[in-house]
Order: sequence, then C-alpha cells, then structure tokens
Amino acid sequence: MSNIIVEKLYKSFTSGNEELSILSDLSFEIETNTKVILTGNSGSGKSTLLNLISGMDNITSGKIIVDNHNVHSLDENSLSLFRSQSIGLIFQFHYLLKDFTALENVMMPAFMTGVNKLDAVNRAKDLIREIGLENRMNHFPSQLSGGERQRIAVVRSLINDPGIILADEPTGNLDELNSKKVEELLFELVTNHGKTLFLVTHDMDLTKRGDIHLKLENGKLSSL
Amino acid sequence: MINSSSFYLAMRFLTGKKKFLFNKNILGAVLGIGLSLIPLIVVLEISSGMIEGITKRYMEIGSYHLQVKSYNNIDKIIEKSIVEKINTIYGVKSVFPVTTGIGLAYSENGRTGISFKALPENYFSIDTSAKQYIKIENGEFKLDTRDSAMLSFEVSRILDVIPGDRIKILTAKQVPGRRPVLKPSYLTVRGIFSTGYYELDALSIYINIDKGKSLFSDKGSNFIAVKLDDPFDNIEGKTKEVRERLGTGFIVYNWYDLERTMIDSFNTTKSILLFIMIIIVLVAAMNISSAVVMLVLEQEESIAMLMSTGVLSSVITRAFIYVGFIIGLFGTISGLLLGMAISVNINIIINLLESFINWGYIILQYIISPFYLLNDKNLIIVDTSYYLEQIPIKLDLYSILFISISTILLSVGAAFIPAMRAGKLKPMEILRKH
Repeated sequence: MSNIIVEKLYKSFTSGNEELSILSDLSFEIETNTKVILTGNSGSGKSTLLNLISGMDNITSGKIIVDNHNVHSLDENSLSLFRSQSIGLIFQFHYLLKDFTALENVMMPAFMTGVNKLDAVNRAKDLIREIGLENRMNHFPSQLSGGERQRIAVVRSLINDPGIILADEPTGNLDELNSKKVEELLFELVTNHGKTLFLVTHDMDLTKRGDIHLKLENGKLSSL
Repeated sequence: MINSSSFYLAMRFLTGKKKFLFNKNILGAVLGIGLSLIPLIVVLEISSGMIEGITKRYMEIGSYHLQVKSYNNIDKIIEKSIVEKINTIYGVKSVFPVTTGIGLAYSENGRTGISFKALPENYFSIDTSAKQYIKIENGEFKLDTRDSAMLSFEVSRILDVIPGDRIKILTAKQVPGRRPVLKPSYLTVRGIFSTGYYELDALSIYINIDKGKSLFSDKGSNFIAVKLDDPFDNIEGKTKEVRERLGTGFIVYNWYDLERTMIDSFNTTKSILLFIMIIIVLVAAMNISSAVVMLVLEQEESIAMLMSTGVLSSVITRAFIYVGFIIGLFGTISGLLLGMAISVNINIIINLLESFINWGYIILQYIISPFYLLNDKNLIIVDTSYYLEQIPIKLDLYSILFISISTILLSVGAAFIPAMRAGKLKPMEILRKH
C-alpha cells in the first residue's frame, strides 16, 4: 500500500520578476514502512520537497497524497490534524521549545492536540526512556548536549505515533560521533515502531541503510 | 470552558524556565494593571465613603428625611396634632418641630454671624440616630432651659468661649407692616459640638425650641422634621403619603428634594474622577497588548514548532488570550488588595505624609536659615475645613466586582489582536527565519 504519492509536482519561487523552478514534474510513490534516503546538492530542493509533503509549504501545481489525504486540498484545521496524526518532523536544527523541559518538549505535540496530559506525559517518558535519556527529562534544552537535543527532537516526532517520519538532515549540525548516535537511534526507532522514513541527507553512507535512494538534481528526481 | 492545553501553554509562556514566576515583561504588565487600579479603587472607595458620610449627615442633622411646612403660622396645639398624625404613618421613626434662623453672636473675645437651629429639649431621645453624627467636644448636650445653647466647635473657637460662658445674640424679628426689629438676647453655652463636617456646622448654634419660636416666629422659619425607618426606601411614596395624611395647607419636602443639587454635584465630581482613573487603566491595558506582542515575538520559534507538529492555530490564539486573562487577573487582584489597603488606611497615610513633609520642610528651613524660622505653618494635605474630619471609606462591593470584571475583560481584549496574530503565524516562514 502506498504511503506517499506524488504526482506531477511543480514548485517554483518568484524572485522579483524571475520565476525560479525548484521541483519540476516530480512523480513517485512510496510504500508503507519504507526507508527513503533523499540526496542531492545544496539548493536542489530536498528540504522543499519534504516541506511540501508535510504541507508546511504550498505547491505550485501537482498533487501530493499522504496517508490517503490530498495534502494541499486540506483546509487549515484539517492540515494541522493531518500533520499531528500522520507526520513526524525532524529538522536539521532541533527547534526544541527553549523554556520547556525535555519531557515537556516531547509531550507537548500530543498534549496540545487533544491527548490527556497524563497520557501524554507517560507516552513521552516511555519514549525518552527508550533512548536512554530518562535522567535528562527535567533538563531544559540549554542544559542538554547537541546530540541529546537532537535525540529528544527525534522522539518528539514519534509522540503522536505518526505513520511517516520526515527528517531533514537531522545530523547536519552534529559532530561525527553524535551523528552516528542519532542515525542509529533514528533507524532503530523507525524500524521498531514500523514507520515510513523519508530522510534527506548529504551523508552517502546512509544511502546503504535505506530501502530506496532518491537523488534530486536540477529539480528532477532519479532513483539510484 | 477553559481549554487545559491552551491554559498550560499560556502559563508556560508566562513563566518560562522559572515555572512559578512571571518573566519581566509580563511582571511589568501585571504591575501596570495593579498600579493603575489603585487610584481607581482609592478614589471609588473614598468618594463613595465621603458622599455617603456627607449625605447621611445632611439627612440626619441637616435637612432630615422629610420637612413639613405650613402655608400658615401654626400654634403649639396644631403642631402637636400634626406630629401625632405623622407619627401614625407606617415607617415613620420620629417627628419633632424645628425652627431655624440667622443672627449675630457676640462674646468678649469675638463675634460672628450664626445660623440658629432650635430643637426640642429631648432631641436626642426623640431622634436617636442624630446622636451618632453629633460629637460633644466639651460640656453636654442640654437644651432644657430657654437660654441653653449648644455651639459648634467653630463658633466656640471664634467667640473663644467654653461651656458656662454667656454669649449675646442679635436677631431680627419680622413684624407685619413694620420694619424688622432687632432683638438682643443672652444665651448660656451648655456644650460644644461637632458634626465632623465643617460645612454643616461651621456657624451653627442649637437652641431650645421655645426660645427659637420666640425669636423666629414667621412661618418660613418653622417646620416639622420627620425621620423614617429607611429614608432610601420609596422616599417619593412616603412623601406623598405624608402629604395626603395632612391634607391641604402643607408642603412636604424630602431629603433628596432638599439636597439634590449637592448630591448631584458630588456624584458628577465622582464620575469625572472615575472617568480619569479609567483612562489610566485603559493605558495600562495597552501595556498588556505590548507585553503580549513581545511574548509572541519571544516565543515565535516555539509557536512555529508547535504548529509544525499539528497544533491548531486556535489553540495558540487561545493560549495568548489566556495570557491576557492571567495578566489581568493577577493585576486586578494585586490592584484591589493594594487599593483597599491604602483606602482603609488613608487617614494614617495622610497623617504620615503630612508629618514627613513637615519634618522635611523644617529640616530644609534649618539648612537655609539656621537662626530664623522662615515659615512656621504646617502643611495640611487634606483640610478638614472642607471635608470630613476623618475620611470615611465605603467598600462598594458591586462597584469593585464591576471594576474587576471590566479590567479582566479589558486585559483579554488587549491581548486579542496579538493573540490572533500569533495564531496566524506561518510556521515555515518562522522556521526559515530562525
């Protein structure tokens, strides 16, 4: 069963009078529980593609269907609901809420979208224990190392139990050791929890760990 | 119904890492509301207290609840029958004759124009409520002889007399068809009183009713004073009832007719003062708006992140409306408490202020002129010549409730626009920016 369907996707930006084409006529399908590794040069549109799949950015034309939702035809509330239920986002920067503890950071997406607070806390604690940071639950992001912050960001993406994890260079800001740790964690969690992973990276070694390796070049997608 | 997730978010945005303390901007907004409410509460409580204090004094010992005047001169027998008739009306507490007039008073040490009020010798036992508004400063309240006189504190000060002293009075008696005849008489000071309100008693002398009637016999100087159980309950109806009971030949005024100008003037002054104070609260509410705008800017990244995880924009908007509500609530509570504390202790505060300023002034004078005191007059912040000797306080709970609810609603209103803007933030644009 296809988890993500992209049909004739175009995305362009207007800069002054000039129209800059980023993605051109992209079409592909991703099955459930597949690990997709997307590579490409800087500025090739990798992050843009992820943002379009999550509905964070608007398409120029085409269609994106995720979990049977035609993402770009949803109204604002339905789009929020779709994001909370179907998508887990991990960014290059952790974007943890600076005044909230690690535990709060993980539980907020669930609590804020209608889950009972106690359930959200318990679910967040389980996830934090799973990554071995139980002793850091009550620490603020400023009290965590870069690797720890990103690991917290990874489990935050899983709190609402979405079917798809969209990860945009999650190790891009980390040193080699922490990068390895986060990569391991990400693949382990995605496998254990049975998620579809769409990972954007520059790390060619990671391509070996994916089921599909896609490369974006000049707005076109090629399967390697 | 409070949405728990929005409320949690609001509280966490407000407190930040400290969890139990507001951040500086928010604390400033809370203080702003609190401080702006203090003058409003103080003005409200003091003006209400003063208006009530003055009005009640006028009602109880000035105009009384009702005044019955006759179109003709009435003798003692008719007067007694009028008193008996009015006394049978339900809700009437006491009825007694009063005579008023003006004249001059002399003593060896001074002289002054005075306003006479002639009362029955057993006035305090007929009108029991009057006792609480007439403070005996010296001597005793006795009008049992024709030459008895009770002097106001101010008259006794001008004439420089004490109980037991004799004073001379000069009154004018109107004789039909002839010029007014000046009549000198002598009175013995039996006591010195104060009503607590200068305007009401400044030049007053209470004398015996029989003496009063002999001095001022014209019909315009005499009336029957009526006290009711509740002068605020259907006063117009009670006025009409007395008028109907007495029939033609009488005119009945109630306290509101007699004091309307004064009461309206007080209430207008109070309204203007409150209006000015409300403007201060409005300005403070604008401060809430800017504090919420600042908070939205500070938390922009967090808002974007939450929205990217699927949090509805309405949850974010509601959270910032709660922020306004919480600021308003804490500001209102602090303002009310401080305002009430200041109001209740206003007399002590004014006395302390006067003392501090006067001490400071004396020290300053000694510095400027060590051997010669430039000015030995003390500063008086509130001159009791114009106001009540002790500023009364009235805790008007309905007004306080109204102010509290209005301030909180105003705070919520002030937070509304920045809250709406927070809900409309585009997460992608914010995350790109950061």
